[in-house]
Amino acid sequence: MKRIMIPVLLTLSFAAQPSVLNMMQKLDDLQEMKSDITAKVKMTQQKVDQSPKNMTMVYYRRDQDDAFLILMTEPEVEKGNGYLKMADNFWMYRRNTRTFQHVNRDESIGGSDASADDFEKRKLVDLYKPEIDIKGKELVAEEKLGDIPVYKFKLLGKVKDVKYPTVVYWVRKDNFLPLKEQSYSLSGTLMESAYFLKYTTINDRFVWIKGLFVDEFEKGNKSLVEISGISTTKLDDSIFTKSFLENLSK
Amino acid sequence: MGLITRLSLRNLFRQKRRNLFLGAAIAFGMSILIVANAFSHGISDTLFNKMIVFIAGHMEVDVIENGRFRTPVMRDRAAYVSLITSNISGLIEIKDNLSTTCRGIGKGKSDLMVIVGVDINMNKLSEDERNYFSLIGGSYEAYHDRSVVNPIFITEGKAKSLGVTLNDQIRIRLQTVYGQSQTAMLTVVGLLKSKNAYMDFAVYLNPTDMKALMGLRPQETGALQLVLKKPKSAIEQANHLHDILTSNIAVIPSNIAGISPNWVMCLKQKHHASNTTLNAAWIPLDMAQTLHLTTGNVMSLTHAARFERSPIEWTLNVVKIYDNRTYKLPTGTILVLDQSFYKEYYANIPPIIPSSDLLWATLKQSPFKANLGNDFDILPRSSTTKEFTKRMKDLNNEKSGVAYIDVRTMYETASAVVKMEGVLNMVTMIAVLVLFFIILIGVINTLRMTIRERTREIGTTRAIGMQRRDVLMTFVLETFFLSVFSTLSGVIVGLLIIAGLGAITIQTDSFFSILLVDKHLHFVVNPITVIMNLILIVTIAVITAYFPARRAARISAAEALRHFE
Repeated sequence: MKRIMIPVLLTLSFAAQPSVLNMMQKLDDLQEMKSDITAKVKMTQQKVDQSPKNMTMVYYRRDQDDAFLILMTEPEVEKGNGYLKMADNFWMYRRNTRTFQHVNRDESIGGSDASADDFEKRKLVDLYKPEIDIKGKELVAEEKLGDIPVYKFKLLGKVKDVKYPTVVYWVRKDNFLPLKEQSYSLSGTLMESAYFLKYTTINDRFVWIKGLFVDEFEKGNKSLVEISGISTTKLDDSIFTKSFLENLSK
Repeated sequence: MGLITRLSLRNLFRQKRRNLFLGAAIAFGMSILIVANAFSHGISDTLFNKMIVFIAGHMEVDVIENGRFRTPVMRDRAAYVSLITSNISGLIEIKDNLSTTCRGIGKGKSDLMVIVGVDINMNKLSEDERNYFSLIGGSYEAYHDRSVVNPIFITEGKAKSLGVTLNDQIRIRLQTVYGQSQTAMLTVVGLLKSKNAYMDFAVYLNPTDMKALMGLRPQETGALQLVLKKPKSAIEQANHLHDILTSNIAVIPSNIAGISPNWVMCLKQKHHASNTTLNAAWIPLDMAQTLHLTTGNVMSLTHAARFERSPIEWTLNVVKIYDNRTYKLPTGTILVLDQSFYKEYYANIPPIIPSSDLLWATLKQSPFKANLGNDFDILPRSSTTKEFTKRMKDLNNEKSGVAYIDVRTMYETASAVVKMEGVLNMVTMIAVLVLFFIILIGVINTLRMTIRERTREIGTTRAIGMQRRDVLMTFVLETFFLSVFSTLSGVIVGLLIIAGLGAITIQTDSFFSILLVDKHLHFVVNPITVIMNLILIVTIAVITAYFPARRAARISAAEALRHFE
């Protein structure tokens, strides 16, 4: 019954064009996981004039405590290293030295373009506001991305400490899943395009499992992220501790 | 005494070959000492006066927000400049530290680089700075040309790594002081000669454009660097400045229609249950009643800002209504949780409230004042680079959003350089002492041989009336003259070696290049050190000579005359 009712209700509620604010809230909801999550993440990073670099990691996440743990499993040189976030504290663990180091919010994570502040649990609605026309009306365009009908809208940073002051979203009209996201610098240069290529449902919630992140500033740099083995089994509290990472090094 | 001196000099030249070898050995030791000392002084001069002083000044005052110690922000530059100029003596210059690391893309090549905001005005620069910014292409005028997009000076080394030359453009991406992604185009208007490896990391842009790129407003700056007349007084001056810095409770005078006066103050969240609501506010009961507000309501107010003409609007979310009979805070005090408070406070610095205002007296009496946040906190002074680095890293743990002021000197930020110079000097000293130990054994041996050879002569001179003291002085003075001539020769040889080594051009891109100036080894000869070394060596030689000379003086004239070999 639930399987039938949800799509019906969704269809009914999405019949009229929703407000951008409404869509932002839906995007925020999409990020919020009610249960614990375990997943295997594979990242293939391609940089100009370099051979592709593969990284795999196991990702443990518990949103209710604003906690996650990333355990690097590949390449060999990174194996056993990890990142632990507990509320406002974010540490990097190095297996070789068996030390934890606080990660500054603008520090790069694992040599990637991601920085610690990308992992901060901050809602889109708190950070951005919809672009409006001179009459104060939200600007939303209806387009097609390939064959898929989408809403396109631009968000402008309403606080200064957002990494990208302008972002543009393309979300599916039928279920509001983001398919594409473009991020712009303060001076308006396109910096990054993100393509969410594949979604799956976990406990009736959509989760993207394949994403392509293209560096638009330095052409030729891109990262493909693939998520597999997603489990929502409740995780042991001991996972979100420093000793968990330390014990794995023994 | 004149006769004794003449005798000593005559004796010195009597055994030319022996004394020549011994003198050459002393001169060699002295020249090594001169070269080694000049080299270690040269290294510290390169690192301190040609590198660190450009990076961090002799002293630096930073204001660090949100643990971003790499991108400090000083919101009211003028206030800090005034504080520094009225409290720091022997100040030559206050420089703005405007720099950030960014990724640059030139012609088909990209590289990391540091953009430094600096006013390159040849009329204002010191001799060292003029030498540092010597152009091999382009013009100084173009650096200030407002019609050129972000005009920069770049070293030949960096230009090569980016594949650019004069009038080419470089695309960069960086982060503003708020962490926002920023991009810009830089135009190469001047090519600089690479003086050292450090210089090759940097490109130079005028401070106005640099501020705009970093997201700083005209009244703001990154940090302030102080150049002092006496660099060695930096620690003392920094301690003094640190001691006079005092923080106050942070207050934003606000405006709410119908309620006067009213203030917004900072509530330290660590003392209370965490609340993640943005702009969460506690308001006093009487204000809630007047404005018909209750928890969950939204309220708006305006407040003046020090650098804004129009009032700033601020919307708060009421999360608690408090009873001021317990807190005894000034009437009309709104408490905003720290993270939200500090965001607003630093973004729009409020006007200064005079110390005579009644507000301060009321706050002093309030039992709740310990829960109120300060306008800034002051970091304790660090004594080593390790301590300083740890302190900066620890700022990540600070979640309240309060800004920290750090007063530092180059001796803490580069204590490794001080240590390195000390270690180099010590290694040099030990090596030279070993060398001199060997040489002094030679001195003793030579003297013993001389005394033995001259025993009958001692007897003769003693028989015709020379006193024991005069015999002693003859030998001591002979060694004195030998060591003085030798060490002076050593100084001359050392200076010649320095001139020779300094003339060699070294082409290297290795880490070693950081110690080079203009691709040459850099030596600094300190005359005081040279004189001290000279006195030390002569003293050691004279003391060493004293004991065999005393033995010679003690021989009786009859016994000396009987001596036969």
